[in-house]
Amino acid sequence: MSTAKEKEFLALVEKHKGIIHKISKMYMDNTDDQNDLFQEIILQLWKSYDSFNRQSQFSTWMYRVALNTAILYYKKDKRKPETVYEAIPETIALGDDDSEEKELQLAHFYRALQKLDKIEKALIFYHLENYSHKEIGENLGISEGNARVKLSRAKNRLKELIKEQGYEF
Amino acid sequence: MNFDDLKAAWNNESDNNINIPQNLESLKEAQSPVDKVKKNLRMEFWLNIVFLVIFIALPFFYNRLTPMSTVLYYTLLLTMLMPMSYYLVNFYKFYGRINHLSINTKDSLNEVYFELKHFIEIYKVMQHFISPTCLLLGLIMGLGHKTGKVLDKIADATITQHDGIILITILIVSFSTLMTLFFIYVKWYINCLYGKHLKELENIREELKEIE
Repeated sequence: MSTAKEKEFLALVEKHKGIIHKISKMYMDNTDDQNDLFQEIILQLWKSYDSFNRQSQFSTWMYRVALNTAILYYKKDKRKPETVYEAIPETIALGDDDSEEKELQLAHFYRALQKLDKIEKALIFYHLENYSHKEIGENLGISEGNARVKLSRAKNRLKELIKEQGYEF
Repeated sequence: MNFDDLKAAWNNESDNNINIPQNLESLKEAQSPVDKVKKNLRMEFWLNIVFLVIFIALPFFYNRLTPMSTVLYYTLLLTMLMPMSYYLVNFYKFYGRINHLSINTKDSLNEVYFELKHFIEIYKVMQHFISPTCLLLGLIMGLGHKTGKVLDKIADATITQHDGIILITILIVSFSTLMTLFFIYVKWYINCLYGKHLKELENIREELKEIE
């Protein structure tokens, strides 16, 4: 039976489930691994829930725990010997032209991300979530200047990888 | 596409089809390397306790020792208990410490890395310290009533020089071979259980290093 604390926690996770899903997609290349990581993040969030200081935002705390979990996590050894990427469709059937284009961009983005290092993925994540260099540095435990240089390199690498897929960037 | 487009696409990504579990009991057992290490630690802890109980109880069930060899057996067992207790206390502290994910990434990584490394070192020392004792305990149990006679024979042969050199050489070579094999096994075993996790953590720590 769920306790009040568990219900409160699950309600907060429900509100931010999209972020956990995005992090799982960033760090894992196939659906099975993504689902495993998704569950793992929820589990680790729950295990660390007592450390959540209610004076800060839940999302801020959650980003940190979720990313640390993803960084420390790695695939099961027994699974697929080598990565098999799902094909990216040339066009996506649903929605208007704009949303089709956005989905296609994301598909290329997630595929390119798989070739980045774990820390580079975290840098890109914080960048897309509009974190400043200072905040990125604080969250990763590095200096602001270092965060700036590393983010710039990660963005360039990502750009190159997307271009290698034949997509305009 | 550029990063602004990417941000827009990222923000618009729908989460309507994502389901979270209705309760936490339905979640799978934790899979992170830290949890795997903890699981292995738990298993090791209970294995140590089981072996200790077996070693303590063995002379009672396997009544082949003379009073003298029983004293020798329990004295050796006591000397083994000291490093084991130190290891178990450290194990307990380590087990409770390694799971701080809400601090910044670098500190979280460092904490797990150094705790694990420290633990592995203590583990190695403990294994290297207790393994010769375990071998001697096994020898005493194996020889049973003959323990005293065999020890007298070895001492006699050494003192009287009658085949002494050959006997001592055989003993040293056998003991060294067994210990070397045991140390190789411990190294392999630690690597299987903890070493690969340490290597993985080392690689990620490298990624976070400051750029000069």
